[in-house]
Amino acid sequence: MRFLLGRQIVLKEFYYTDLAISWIEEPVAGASNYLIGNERGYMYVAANSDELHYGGDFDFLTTPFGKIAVICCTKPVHWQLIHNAKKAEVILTVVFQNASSVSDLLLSKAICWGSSREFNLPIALLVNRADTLQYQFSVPGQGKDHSGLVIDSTTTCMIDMDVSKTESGLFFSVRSFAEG
Amino acid sequence: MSLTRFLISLFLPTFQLQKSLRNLVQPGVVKRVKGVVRAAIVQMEYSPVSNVNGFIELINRFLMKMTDFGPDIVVFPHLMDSFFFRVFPLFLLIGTRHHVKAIKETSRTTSEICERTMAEFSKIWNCTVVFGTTQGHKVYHVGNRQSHLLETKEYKMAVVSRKTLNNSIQLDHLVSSGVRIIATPGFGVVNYSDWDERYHMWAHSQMVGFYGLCSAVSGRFLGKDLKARACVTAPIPITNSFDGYIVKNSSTTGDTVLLAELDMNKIESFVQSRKFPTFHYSKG
Repeated sequence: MRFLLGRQIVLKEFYYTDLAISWIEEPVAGASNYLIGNERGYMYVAANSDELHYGGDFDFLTTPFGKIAVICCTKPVHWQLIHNAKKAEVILTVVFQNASSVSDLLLSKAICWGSSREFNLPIALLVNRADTLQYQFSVPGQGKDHSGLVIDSTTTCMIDMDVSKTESGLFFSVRSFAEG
Repeated sequence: MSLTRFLISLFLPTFQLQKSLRNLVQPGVVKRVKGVVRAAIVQMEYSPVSNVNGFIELINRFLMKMTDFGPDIVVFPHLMDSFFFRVFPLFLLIGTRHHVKAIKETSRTTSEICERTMAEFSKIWNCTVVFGTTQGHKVYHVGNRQSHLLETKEYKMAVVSRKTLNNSIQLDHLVSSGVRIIATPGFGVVNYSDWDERYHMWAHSQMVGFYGLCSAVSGRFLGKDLKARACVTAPIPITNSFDGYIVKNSSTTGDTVLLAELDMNKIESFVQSRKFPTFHYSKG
Protein backbone atom coordinates (compact mmCIF):
# COMPACT_ATOMS: atom_id res chain seq x y z
CA MET A 1 0.00 0.00 0.00
CA ARG A 2 1.35 3.42 -0.96
CA PHE A 3 -0.09 6.30 0.97
CA LEU A 4 0.36 10.00 1.37
CA LEU A 5 0.26 11.53 4.82
CA GLY A 6 -0.37 15.27 4.80
CA ARG A 7 -1.45 17.85 2.26
CA GLN A 8 -2.52 16.55 -1.12
CA ILE A 9 0.19 18.30 -3.07
CA VAL A 10 0.56 17.36 -6.72
CA LEU A 11 3.79 15.41 -6.71
CA LYS A 12 4.27 12.99 -9.60
CA GLU A 13 4.07 10.17 -7.03
CA PHE A 14 0.62 11.37 -5.97
CA TYR A 15 -0.93 9.80 -9.08
CA TYR A 16 0.13 6.34 -7.87
CA THR A 17 -1.10 6.82 -4.31
CA ASP A 18 -3.46 4.17 -2.96
CA LEU A 19 -4.65 6.23 -0.02
CA ALA A 20 -4.30 9.92 0.78
CA ILE A 21 -4.68 10.69 4.50
CA SER A 22 -5.16 14.41 5.09
CA TRP A 23 -6.57 16.93 7.51
CA ILE A 24 -9.91 18.04 6.10
CA GLU A 25 -9.49 19.58 2.65
CA GLU A 26 -10.94 19.36 -0.84
CA PRO A 27 -9.71 16.09 -2.42
CA VAL A 28 -7.23 16.61 -5.27
CA ALA A 29 -7.74 14.17 -8.15
CA GLY A 30 -4.99 11.58 -8.44
CA ALA A 31 -5.19 9.16 -5.53
CA SER A 32 -7.32 6.00 -5.50
CA ASN A 33 -8.80 6.57 -2.05
CA TYR A 34 -9.03 9.46 0.38
CA LEU A 35 -9.34 9.60 4.13
CA ILE A 36 -9.86 13.17 5.25
CA GLY A 37 -10.81 14.31 8.71
CA ASN A 38 -10.43 16.56 11.70
CA GLU A 39 -11.06 16.33 15.44
CA ARG A 40 -14.84 16.19 14.90
CA GLY A 41 -15.13 13.53 12.20
CA TYR A 42 -13.79 11.93 9.05
CA MET A 43 -14.80 11.07 5.50
CA TYR A 44 -13.61 8.17 3.35
CA VAL A 45 -13.95 8.50 -0.41
CA ALA A 46 -13.04 5.92 -3.05
CA ALA A 47 -12.27 7.57 -6.41
CA ASN A 48 -13.76 4.80 -8.56
CA SER A 49 -16.92 4.38 -6.56
CA ASP A 50 -19.88 6.42 -5.42
CA GLU A 51 -19.46 5.05 -1.92
CA LEU A 52 -18.87 7.56 0.83
CA HIS A 53 -18.23 6.69 4.45
CA TYR A 54 -18.21 9.18 7.24
CA GLY A 55 -18.08 9.03 11.01
CA GLY A 56 -16.45 10.38 14.13
CA ASP A 57 -15.07 9.55 17.60
CA PHE A 58 -13.85 5.95 17.18
CA ASP A 59 -14.75 4.00 14.08
CA PHE A 60 -13.64 1.18 11.80
CA LEU A 61 -13.32 1.36 8.03
CA THR A 62 -13.14 -1.58 5.68
CA THR A 63 -10.90 -0.66 2.77
CA PRO A 64 -9.40 -2.69 -0.12
CA PHE A 65 -6.12 -2.75 1.90
CA GLY A 66 -7.66 -4.05 5.11
CA LYS A 67 -9.45 -2.77 8.17
CA ILE A 68 -8.48 0.71 9.41
CA ALA A 69 -9.42 2.29 12.76
CA VAL A 70 -10.11 6.04 12.78
CA ILE A 71 -10.05 8.11 15.96
CA CYS A 72 -11.15 11.75 16.04
CA CYS A 73 -10.46 13.57 19.31
CA THR A 74 -9.78 16.86 21.03
CA LYS A 75 -7.74 15.37 23.90
CA PRO A 76 -4.62 13.18 23.66
CA VAL A 77 -5.68 9.78 22.39
CA HIS A 78 -6.24 7.12 25.04
CA TRP A 79 -4.08 3.99 24.73
CA GLN A 80 -7.11 1.78 25.39
CA LEU A 81 -8.69 2.94 22.12
CA ILE A 82 -5.59 1.80 20.27
CA HIS A 83 -5.72 -1.47 22.19
CA ASN A 84 -9.36 -1.89 21.11
CA ALA A 85 -8.30 -1.21 17.51
CA LYS A 86 -5.66 -3.92 17.82
CA LYS A 87 -8.23 -6.38 19.17
CA ALA A 88 -10.37 -5.63 16.09
CA GLU A 89 -7.37 -6.74 13.94
CA VAL A 90 -6.89 -3.48 12.05
CA ILE A 91 -3.80 -2.97 9.88
CA LEU A 92 -3.57 0.77 10.58
CA THR A 93 -4.91 3.27 13.07
CA VAL A 94 -5.38 6.90 12.02
CA VAL A 95 -5.78 9.61 14.67
CA PHE A 96 -7.11 13.10 13.88
CA GLN A 97 -6.62 15.44 16.81
CA ASN A 98 -6.86 19.11 17.61
CA ALA A 99 -4.33 19.92 20.34
CA SER A 100 -5.10 22.84 22.63
CA SER A 101 -1.56 23.01 24.04
CA VAL A 102 2.00 22.00 23.23
CA SER A 103 1.98 19.53 26.13
CA ASP A 104 -1.11 17.81 24.67
CA LEU A 105 0.60 17.60 21.29
CA LEU A 106 3.73 16.02 22.79
CA LEU A 107 1.68 13.68 24.97
CA SER A 108 -0.28 12.45 21.92
CA LYS A 109 2.92 11.77 20.03
CA ALA A 110 4.38 9.85 22.98
CA ILE A 111 1.21 7.78 23.47
CA CYS A 112 0.95 6.91 19.77
CA TRP A 113 4.61 5.89 19.59
CA GLY A 114 4.44 3.78 22.79
CA SER A 115 1.13 2.16 21.82
CA SER A 116 2.38 1.37 18.31
CA ARG A 117 5.31 -0.53 19.79
CA GLU A 118 3.37 -2.26 22.54
CA PHE A 119 0.45 -3.37 20.37
CA ASN A 120 2.48 -3.97 17.20
CA LEU A 121 0.36 -1.64 15.12
CA PRO A 122 1.15 1.21 12.66
CA ILE A 123 -0.35 4.52 13.83
CA ALA A 124 -0.68 7.68 11.75
CA LEU A 125 -1.24 10.78 13.85
CA LEU A 126 -2.42 14.07 12.34
CA VAL A 127 -2.52 16.91 14.85
CA ASN A 128 -3.63 20.46 14.37
CA ARG A 129 -1.86 22.71 16.84
CA ALA A 130 -2.44 26.46 16.45
CA ASP A 131 -3.25 26.04 12.74
CA THR A 132 -0.05 24.13 12.09
CA LEU A 133 -0.45 20.51 11.08
CA GLN A 134 1.94 17.92 12.46
CA TYR A 135 2.28 14.39 11.11
CA GLN A 136 3.69 11.41 12.95
CA PHE A 137 3.81 7.87 11.64
CA SER A 138 4.90 5.08 13.97
CA VAL A 139 5.55 1.52 12.84
CA PRO A 140 7.06 -1.06 15.23
CA GLY A 141 10.71 -1.84 14.51
CA GLN A 142 10.93 0.58 11.56
CA GLY A 143 12.53 4.00 11.14
CA LYS A 144 15.97 5.25 12.11
CA ASP A 145 17.77 2.95 14.61
CA HIS A 146 14.61 0.79 14.65
CA SER A 147 13.07 3.48 16.80
CA GLY A 148 9.58 2.76 15.52
CA LEU A 149 9.28 6.38 14.41
CA VAL A 150 9.09 6.67 10.63
CA ILE A 151 8.02 10.34 10.37
CA ASP A 152 7.62 13.16 12.83
CA SER A 153 7.31 16.39 10.88
CA THR A 154 5.14 19.21 9.61
CA THR A 155 5.73 18.27 5.97
CA THR A 156 3.85 15.89 3.72
CA CYS A 157 5.30 12.43 3.20
CA MET A 158 4.76 9.49 0.87
CA ILE A 159 5.08 6.03 2.42
CA ASP A 160 5.18 2.49 1.07
CA MET A 161 3.96 0.01 3.64
CA ASP A 162 3.63 -3.76 3.33
CA VAL A 163 1.82 -5.72 5.98
CA SER A 164 2.41 -9.46 6.19
CA LYS A 165 0.22 -11.58 8.38
CA THR A 166 1.78 -14.79 9.67
CA GLU A 167 0.96 -17.24 12.42
CA SER A 168 3.26 -15.35 14.77
CA GLY A 169 1.62 -11.99 14.11
CA LEU A 170 1.82 -8.97 11.85
CA PHE A 171 5.07 -7.88 10.20
CA PHE A 172 5.63 -4.50 8.63
CA SER A 173 7.97 -3.21 6.02
CA VAL A 174 7.98 0.54 5.48
CA ARG A 175 9.78 2.87 3.10
CA SER A 176 9.32 6.60 3.12
CA PHE A 177 10.36 7.78 -0.34
CA ALA A 178 9.35 11.38 -0.96
CA GLU A 179 8.90 14.43 1.14
CA GLY A 180 7.25 17.61 -0.03
CA MET B 1 28.03 -26.06 47.63
CA SER B 2 28.76 -26.25 51.36
CA LEU B 3 32.40 -25.25 50.73
CA THR B 4 31.17 -22.18 48.83
CA ARG B 5 28.84 -21.21 51.65
CA PHE B 6 31.59 -21.72 54.17
CA LEU B 7 33.96 -19.47 52.19
CA ILE B 8 31.32 -16.74 51.90
CA SER B 9 30.52 -16.83 55.61
CA LEU B 10 34.27 -16.63 56.28
CA PHE B 11 34.61 -13.49 54.18
CA LEU B 12 31.36 -11.93 55.33
CA PRO B 13 30.91 -12.71 59.05
CA THR B 14 27.61 -11.64 60.67
CA PHE B 15 29.24 -9.98 63.69
CA GLN B 16 31.16 -7.70 61.33
CA LEU B 17 27.89 -6.62 59.69
CA GLN B 18 26.37 -5.65 63.06
CA LYS B 19 29.40 -3.50 63.76
CA SER B 20 29.52 -1.96 60.28
CA LEU B 21 25.84 -1.02 60.27
CA ARG B 22 26.60 1.47 63.07
CA ASN B 23 28.68 3.40 60.51
CA LEU B 24 25.76 4.12 58.22
CA VAL B 25 25.44 7.84 57.45
CA GLN B 26 22.77 9.56 59.55
CA PRO B 27 20.02 11.65 57.90
CA GLY B 28 19.86 15.44 58.15
CA VAL B 29 16.88 17.31 59.56
CA VAL B 30 14.51 18.17 56.72
CA LYS B 31 11.06 19.76 56.86
CA ARG B 32 8.38 17.70 55.12
CA VAL B 33 6.00 19.36 52.66
CA LYS B 34 2.44 18.05 52.50
CA GLY B 35 1.50 16.58 49.11
CA VAL B 36 5.12 16.27 48.01
CA VAL B 37 6.98 12.96 48.01
CA ARG B 38 10.75 13.14 47.80
CA ALA B 39 12.50 10.42 45.84
CA ALA B 40 16.20 9.65 45.47
CA ILE B 41 17.24 7.39 42.60
CA VAL B 42 20.68 5.83 42.52
CA GLN B 43 22.82 4.98 39.51
CA MET B 44 25.97 3.06 40.48
CA GLU B 45 29.11 2.36 38.55
CA TYR B 46 29.89 -1.29 39.21
CA SER B 47 32.78 -1.51 41.68
CA PRO B 48 32.98 -4.80 43.59
CA VAL B 49 33.76 -4.77 47.31
CA SER B 50 35.94 -7.10 49.36
CA ASN B 51 34.03 -7.18 52.63
CA VAL B 52 31.05 -5.90 54.58
CA ASN B 53 32.85 -2.68 55.54
CA GLY B 54 33.49 -1.99 51.88
CA PHE B 55 29.81 -2.46 51.12
CA ILE B 56 28.71 -0.06 53.86
CA GLU B 57 31.27 2.48 52.63
CA LEU B 58 29.87 2.11 49.12
CA ILE B 59 26.29 2.70 50.33
CA ASN B 60 27.43 5.65 52.48
CA ARG B 61 28.94 7.32 49.41
CA PHE B 62 25.43 7.62 48.01
CA LEU B 63 23.69 8.39 51.29
CA MET B 64 25.97 11.39 51.81
CA LYS B 65 24.59 12.88 48.58
CA MET B 66 21.04 12.81 49.94
CA THR B 67 21.44 13.76 53.63
CA ASP B 68 20.06 17.30 53.15
CA PHE B 69 17.25 16.12 50.89
CA GLY B 70 15.40 13.85 53.34
CA PRO B 71 14.00 11.36 50.82
CA ASP B 72 10.76 9.49 51.45
CA ILE B 73 11.69 6.87 48.85
CA VAL B 74 15.17 5.69 47.86
CA VAL B 75 15.59 3.37 44.87
CA PHE B 76 18.83 1.43 44.63
CA PRO B 77 19.62 -0.77 41.61
CA HIS B 78 18.82 -4.42 41.03
CA LEU B 79 21.31 -7.24 41.87
CA MET B 80 22.91 -5.28 44.71
CA ASP B 81 24.52 -8.46 46.05
CA SER B 82 26.54 -8.74 42.82
CA PHE B 83 28.81 -6.09 44.36
CA PHE B 84 30.08 -8.94 46.56
CA PHE B 85 31.24 -10.97 43.56
CA ARG B 86 34.85 -10.18 44.50
CA VAL B 87 34.45 -12.40 47.57
CA PHE B 88 32.17 -14.79 45.76
CA PRO B 89 34.10 -17.98 44.87
CA LEU B 90 32.78 -17.99 41.31
CA PHE B 91 35.57 -20.38 40.28
CA LEU B 92 33.90 -23.09 42.40
CA LEU B 93 30.57 -22.60 40.67
CA ILE B 94 31.10 -21.57 37.04
CA GLY B 95 31.64 -24.61 34.87
CA THR B 96 29.47 -26.85 36.99
CA ARG B 97 26.30 -28.21 35.38
CA HIS B 98 23.80 -26.05 37.20
CA HIS B 99 25.98 -23.04 37.95
CA VAL B 100 23.17 -20.46 37.67
CA LYS B 101 21.09 -22.35 40.23
CA ALA B 102 24.19 -22.84 42.39
CA ILE B 103 25.05 -19.12 42.34
CA LYS B 104 21.47 -18.25 43.25
CA GLU B 105 21.42 -20.67 46.17
CA THR B 106 24.78 -19.62 47.55
CA SER B 107 24.01 -15.95 47.10
CA ARG B 108 21.40 -16.11 49.87
CA THR B 109 24.08 -14.96 52.30
CA THR B 110 25.07 -11.93 50.24
CA SER B 111 21.42 -11.11 49.55
CA GLU B 112 20.75 -11.23 53.29
CA ILE B 113 23.59 -8.79 53.98
CA CYS B 114 22.07 -6.39 51.43
CA GLU B 115 18.64 -6.78 53.00
CA ARG B 116 19.87 -6.18 56.53
CA THR B 117 21.82 -3.12 55.41
CA MET B 118 18.83 -1.64 53.57
CA ALA B 119 16.44 -2.51 56.42
CA GLU B 120 18.68 -0.65 58.86
CA PHE B 121 19.04 2.27 56.45
CA SER B 122 15.25 2.58 55.96
CA LYS B 123 14.80 2.47 59.75
CA ILE B 124 17.40 5.15 60.52
CA TRP B 125 16.23 7.39 57.67
CA ASN B 126 12.51 6.74 58.30
CA CYS B 127 11.93 6.08 54.60
CA THR B 128 11.12 3.44 52.01
CA VAL B 129 14.03 1.67 50.32
CA VAL B 130 13.61 -0.28 47.10
CA PHE B 131 16.38 -2.46 45.65
CA GLY B 132 17.02 -5.84 44.11
CA THR B 133 19.27 -8.83 44.77
CA THR B 134 19.74 -12.16 43.01
CA GLN B 135 16.79 -13.29 45.17
CA GLY B 136 14.44 -10.71 43.62
CA HIS B 137 13.16 -7.19 44.23
CA LYS B 138 12.89 -6.05 47.85
CA VAL B 139 11.04 -3.24 49.60
CA TYR B 140 11.70 -2.02 53.15
CA HIS B 141 9.70 0.67 54.86
CA VAL B 142 11.02 2.07 58.16
CA GLY B 143 12.89 -1.16 58.88
CA ASN B 144 10.08 -3.53 57.92
CA ARG B 145 9.88 -5.81 54.89
CA GLN B 146 6.96 -4.92 52.61
CA SER B 147 5.21 -6.48 49.65
CA HIS B 148 5.73 -5.05 46.16
CA LEU B 149 2.64 -2.92 46.70
CA LEU B 150 3.16 -0.37 49.45
CA GLU B 151 0.67 2.16 50.78
CA THR B 152 1.51 4.96 53.20
CA LYS B 153 -0.42 8.09 54.20
CA GLU B 154 1.30 10.10 51.48
CA TYR B 155 1.49 7.69 48.53
CA LYS B 156 0.78 4.28 47.08
CA MET B 157 3.71 2.70 45.28
CA ALA B 158 4.29 -0.50 43.31
CA VAL B 159 7.61 -2.15 42.53
CA VAL B 160 7.51 -3.95 39.20
CA SER B 161 9.93 -5.79 36.94
CA ARG B 162 11.15 -4.31 33.66
CA LYS B 163 8.97 -6.83 31.81
CA THR B 164 5.81 -5.54 33.50
CA LEU B 165 6.72 -2.03 32.31
CA ASN B 166 5.78 -3.15 28.78
CA ASN B 167 2.28 -4.07 29.78
CA SER B 168 -0.16 -1.14 29.86
CA ILE B 169 -3.01 -3.36 31.00
CA GLN B 170 -1.19 -4.51 34.15
CA LEU B 171 0.09 -0.99 34.83
CA ASP B 172 -3.41 0.41 34.36
CA HIS B 173 -4.75 -2.02 36.98
CA LEU B 174 -2.18 -0.67 39.42
CA VAL B 175 -3.03 2.97 38.64
CA SER B 176 -6.77 2.21 38.91
CA SER B 177 -6.14 0.79 42.39
CA GLY B 178 -4.55 4.08 43.49
CA VAL B 179 -0.87 3.52 42.68
CA ARG B 180 0.76 6.78 41.59
CA ILE B 181 4.45 5.82 41.83
CA ILE B 182 6.01 2.84 40.06
CA ALA B 183 9.60 1.86 40.82
CA THR B 184 11.88 -0.52 38.96
CA PRO B 185 15.33 -1.35 40.31
CA GLY B 186 17.33 -1.59 37.10
CA PHE B 187 20.62 -3.08 35.91
CA GLY B 188 22.62 -2.04 32.84
CA VAL B 189 22.56 -3.81 29.50
CA VAL B 190 25.24 -4.46 26.89
CA ASN B 191 23.23 -3.33 23.85
CA TYR B 192 21.99 -0.06 25.27
CA SER B 193 19.54 1.90 23.12
CA ASP B 194 17.95 5.21 24.08
CA TRP B 195 14.79 4.22 22.22
CA ASP B 196 14.46 0.97 24.16
CA GLU B 197 15.00 2.81 27.43
CA ARG B 198 12.34 5.36 26.49
CA TYR B 199 9.87 2.66 25.61
CA HIS B 200 9.76 1.02 29.03
CA MET B 201 9.29 3.54 31.84
CA TRP B 202 8.98 6.81 29.90
CA ALA B 203 6.41 5.76 27.28
CA HIS B 204 4.23 3.98 29.83
CA SER B 205 4.35 6.96 32.18
CA GLN B 206 2.73 8.90 29.34
CA MET B 207 0.26 6.20 28.36
CA VAL B 208 -1.00 5.15 31.78
CA GLY B 209 -0.06 8.14 33.98
CA PHE B 210 2.29 7.64 36.93
CA TYR B 211 5.64 8.75 38.33
CA GLY B 212 8.29 6.25 37.23
CA LEU B 213 11.46 5.69 39.27
CA CYS B 214 14.22 3.80 37.49
CA SER B 215 17.61 3.07 39.08
CA ALA B 216 20.59 1.47 37.33
CA VAL B 217 24.04 -0.11 37.45
CA SER B 218 26.56 0.65 34.73
CA GLY B 219 30.25 -0.15 34.17
CA ARG B 220 32.29 -3.29 33.60
CA PHE B 221 30.54 -6.38 34.99
CA LEU B 222 31.83 -9.94 34.46
CA GLY B 223 33.82 -8.80 31.43
CA LYS B 224 30.98 -6.90 29.79
CA ASP B 225 30.44 -3.15 29.47
CA LEU B 226 27.02 -2.25 30.80
CA LYS B 227 25.21 1.00 30.10
CA ALA B 228 22.10 2.41 31.69
CA ARG B 229 20.41 5.69 32.53
CA ALA B 230 18.59 6.28 35.81
CA CYS B 231 15.57 8.56 35.55
CA VAL B 232 12.37 9.83 37.09
CA THR B 233 9.58 10.00 34.52
CA ALA B 234 6.18 11.69 34.62
CA PRO B 235 3.42 12.52 32.15
CA ILE B 236 4.59 15.31 29.80
CA PRO B 237 2.00 17.95 30.88
CA ILE B 238 3.24 17.87 34.49
CA THR B 239 6.95 18.12 33.72
CA ASN B 240 8.61 21.55 33.64
CA SER B 241 10.33 21.13 30.29
CA PHE B 242 7.55 19.04 28.68
CA ASP B 243 9.98 16.19 28.03
CA GLY B 244 8.37 13.61 30.30
CA TYR B 245 11.27 13.58 32.75
CA ILE B 246 11.39 15.12 36.23
CA VAL B 247 15.10 14.33 36.18
CA LYS B 248 17.31 12.08 34.08
CA ASN B 249 20.96 11.11 34.28
CA SER B 250 22.83 12.88 31.48
CA SER B 251 25.36 10.04 31.23
CA THR B 252 24.98 6.30 30.74
CA THR B 253 27.89 5.64 33.11
CA GLY B 254 29.17 6.82 36.50
CA ASP B 255 27.83 7.26 40.02
CA THR B 256 24.80 9.54 40.36
CA VAL B 257 22.00 10.26 42.79
CA LEU B 258 18.94 11.84 41.18
CA LEU B 259 16.76 13.84 43.56
CA ALA B 260 13.15 14.54 42.65
CA GLU B 261 10.15 16.11 44.35
CA LEU B 262 6.94 14.42 43.22
CA ASP B 263 3.81 16.56 43.43
CA MET B 264 1.05 14.09 44.25
CA ASN B 265 -1.74 16.60 43.51
CA LYS B 266 -0.48 17.12 39.97
CA ILE B 267 -0.34 13.40 39.18
CA GLU B 268 -3.79 12.91 40.71
CA SER B 269 -5.27 15.65 38.49
CA PHE B 270 -3.60 14.13 35.46
CA VAL B 271 -4.91 10.62 36.18
CA GLN B 272 -8.43 11.93 36.74
CA SER B 273 -8.32 13.89 33.45
CA ARG B 274 -7.25 10.76 31.56
CA LYS B 275 -10.15 8.47 32.41
CA PHE B 276 -11.02 6.20 29.50
CA PRO B 277 -13.62 7.97 27.29
CA THR B 278 -16.92 6.35 26.34
CA PHE B 279 -17.28 6.46 22.58
CA HIS B 280 -20.27 5.52 20.53
CA TYR B 281 -19.67 3.81 17.21
CA SER B 282 -20.97 5.78 14.26
CA LYS B 283 -21.22 4.73 10.67
CA GLY B 284 -21.93 6.77 7.56
